[in-house]
Order: sequence, then C-alpha cells, then structure tokens
Amino acid sequence: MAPQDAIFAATNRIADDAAERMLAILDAVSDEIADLMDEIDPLKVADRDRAELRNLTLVRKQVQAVLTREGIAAATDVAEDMAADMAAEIAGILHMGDFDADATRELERILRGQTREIEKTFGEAAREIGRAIDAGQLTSGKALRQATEEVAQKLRTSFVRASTAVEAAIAGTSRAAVVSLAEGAEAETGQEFVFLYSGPADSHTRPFCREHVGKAYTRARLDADGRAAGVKPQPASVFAGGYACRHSLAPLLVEDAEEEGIEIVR
Amino acid sequence: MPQTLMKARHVEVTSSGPLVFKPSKGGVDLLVARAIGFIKLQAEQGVDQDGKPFVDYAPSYKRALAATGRLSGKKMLMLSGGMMKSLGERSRTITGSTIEAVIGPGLGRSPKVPLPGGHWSDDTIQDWLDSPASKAGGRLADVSQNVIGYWHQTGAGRLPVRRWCGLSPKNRERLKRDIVANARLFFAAGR
Repeated sequence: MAPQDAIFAATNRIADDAAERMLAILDAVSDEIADLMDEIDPLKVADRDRAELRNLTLVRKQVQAVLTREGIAAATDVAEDMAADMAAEIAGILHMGDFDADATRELERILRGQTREIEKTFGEAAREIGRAIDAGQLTSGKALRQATEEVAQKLRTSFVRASTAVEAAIAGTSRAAVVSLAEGAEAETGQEFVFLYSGPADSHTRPFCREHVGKAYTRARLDADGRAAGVKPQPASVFAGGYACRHSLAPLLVEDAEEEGIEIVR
Repeated sequence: MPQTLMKARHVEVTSSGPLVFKPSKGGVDLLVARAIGFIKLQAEQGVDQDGKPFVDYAPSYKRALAATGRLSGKKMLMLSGGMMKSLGERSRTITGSTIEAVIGPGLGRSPKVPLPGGHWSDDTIQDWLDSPASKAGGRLADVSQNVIGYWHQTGAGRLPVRRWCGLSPKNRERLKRDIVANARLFFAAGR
C-alpha cells in the first residue's frame, strides 16, 4: 500500500475508533446521570422547597463529579489517544521510506499541527462544559435531562470539530504530496510550475476560494494570499481555503497555463 | 567503463553503445506531477480523457444541485472535492522499457452532501443503497474515494461513464514533449 493510502486508512480508522469511544462515554455518562435522578426523585415527597434545594445541590455536585471523571476527562483522553495513535501510525508509515526527506518533513509538520488542533478542540469543549456548570445552569431549574443533553451536544460538537481537523490533515497531506512532486521536478528540469486552484465555484464557495479558483499561482504567492486573508490553518498551499476546503491544486507548467488561457498570479 | 555524455558546452558522445532508457526519479516525478495536473485541469474544463465534454448530469439531478446552490458551471465531479483532493500517485514501477505510475483517488471518504428530491450527491452514489454492504448495515460514508472514482470512470451501476482519470490526446502529447525536452532525465549511455 502506498504511504498516502496507508495514512488515509490509518487516520480514518483512528477517527472511527475515537468516535465509537466517545459515543460509549456519552452513553455511560447519560446512564450514570439517569441513575442519580432516580435516586433523588423520591425526596420530592417531603418538604418540596427544601427537598428541591437539596436535590439541586446534590445533583450539581454529583453531575460535576460524573462529568469530570467520565466525561471531560475521558474526552480529553480520547483526544490524546487519537493524537498519539495518529502520530504512531504515521511515523510507522513514513519509515517505509517511500517519501523523500523534504516530503516527510512536510508531512510531519502538517500532522503535528493538526493533532495539536484536536487536543485544543477537546480542551475548549471541556472548558465550555465547565463554564456551563459554573454558570449554574443546573441550579437555575433547568431540567437535568436537558442539561445532560447540552453537555452531550458539546461533546459531539467537539468530536465533529476534531474530525474536521483530521480531514484537514488528510487533504493537506495530499496537496503537499502533489506540490512536493512538482517542486522536485522543477528543481530537476528548471521549468517553472504554477498551481491551478481547482474545484467547485458554487454558492457554498468561500470568498478566498472564489477569488482564487480557476487561476494559477506560484506557491509563494498563494501562501502570501492565505496569510493576508487569515485563512486557517496555514499555509494555503497545503490547506487551500482552510478547514473542510473542497479545493485542490493542479500543478501546471507556466507555458501550458498560458496556452490554456489561465491567468497566472505571482 | 565510464560514459561521458556532456562535456563543457558541447555534447561529446563517447559511449560505445546506444542510449538506453534509464529514467531518473526527477524524470518520473515530472511526468507524475504533470499527469495529476492535467487530470485536474481536464475536470476544471469539463472534458474527459478523450478530450470530449463529460456526459451532462440528468435534468432532475441538475435541478437538485441548483436548488442547493451547488451547480458549478461546466465543472463536474467536484461536489465534495474529496475525489480530486485525494488524487495522487499510488505506486510506480519502472522496468526495462516502461514507467508505470498508478494515479488515482485515495482511500479516504467524503462527507455526504444531502440534496432535495431523494437525490444523492455524486459522492454518495445511489447504487450504494442497493449494494450488499449497504443492506448489511454499512454506512454510506464507507464508500471510499477510489471506489467512487472507479464507478465514475467505468459507469458501474447506474452511473453514466465519465472517463475522468486519464489524459486527453493533447495532454498525452505534452507528456511526450516533456520526455524529449528532458531526455537527460530519461536516457543514459549504455549497452
């Protein structure tokens, strides 16, 4: 299997595994909180106000404990495991030796950046959940199940964002491989390559991509444009218009771009 | 015996034998990078590997694309971008007289793009619904980009044939010119 294919397969497998673990954690957290509710419900039969106050205080403490122990901590663990698994898989694949040194360094740089992004995403989710509890959502009379669902939603959202980071790493790896091939050929032949910004131009296309699609760029110019526009993550020659970008780069010799009537931007 | 092909500013052939086909890594990189670029360029221009326009989308599918703002002029096969983004070199084999580089989409999967009217996007093929894997409970996202690319290329199932993953005659000629213009990357003196 080619290194690129192996990386695609490995990252997909790790992302799927992380998704399953996250869902299992969410189920476990939901079950535990549901059990807590069942234990507390009978208290309602006595002095309603005092019991409810006691209920809420108890619930808040216990839910916090469950979330910290099983939810937030576990989500962070999953993210850390996912990043470590990816790093290990990719390191193993790169040792196959099919990539040249420059391409290998480029890949490692891209993937290191993206695994940090995954950790950051889960870290942010953990802080959001903590803030929700601190703001007293549970003590403000909001139904426990609703609060639980909000926490679960935050975890799901963070997983989607983590998946986006993984997808960006995969697409970035592919773009970097093509750019690296072209630049290697350029060094050998002395013929200059430019990169056609290729992909859809529909109503979902971002302003940066709309401005660039259909034109050919030097790598330096594309990266400079990406920095100026503040696309995330950088550089544009690897990540194009950013997360979930649908565009790719087509290497063309300058003479062919001119022959095809494609505008070249330097 | 050492062979000298280039000396100072003129070519001095001292080989006792003919030039032999001996492609360098840089030479193959050149051809592969060019081929990937041409396949994407052809998709941008809406033409297939025979240089002919792709078979148009069905009117109902076009309407569904338009309704969601996803019509993209003459460009096709770029709805999620996954297939083109993952296009790369999968393997290369060099034998005595042949360079074989396999170029195709990767094993990754594209996000599902929902369209109204019961249509599935180009990247989420209707045929999947009828497949044994689907009936066994598999998810649509389990179809990898290289499989989708194959379906488009061959017209597997109910898809029209859109031979996108190959070079048009014009671009094949360009590759031949590359080899001639960079002969030193492909030939060496020898027996």
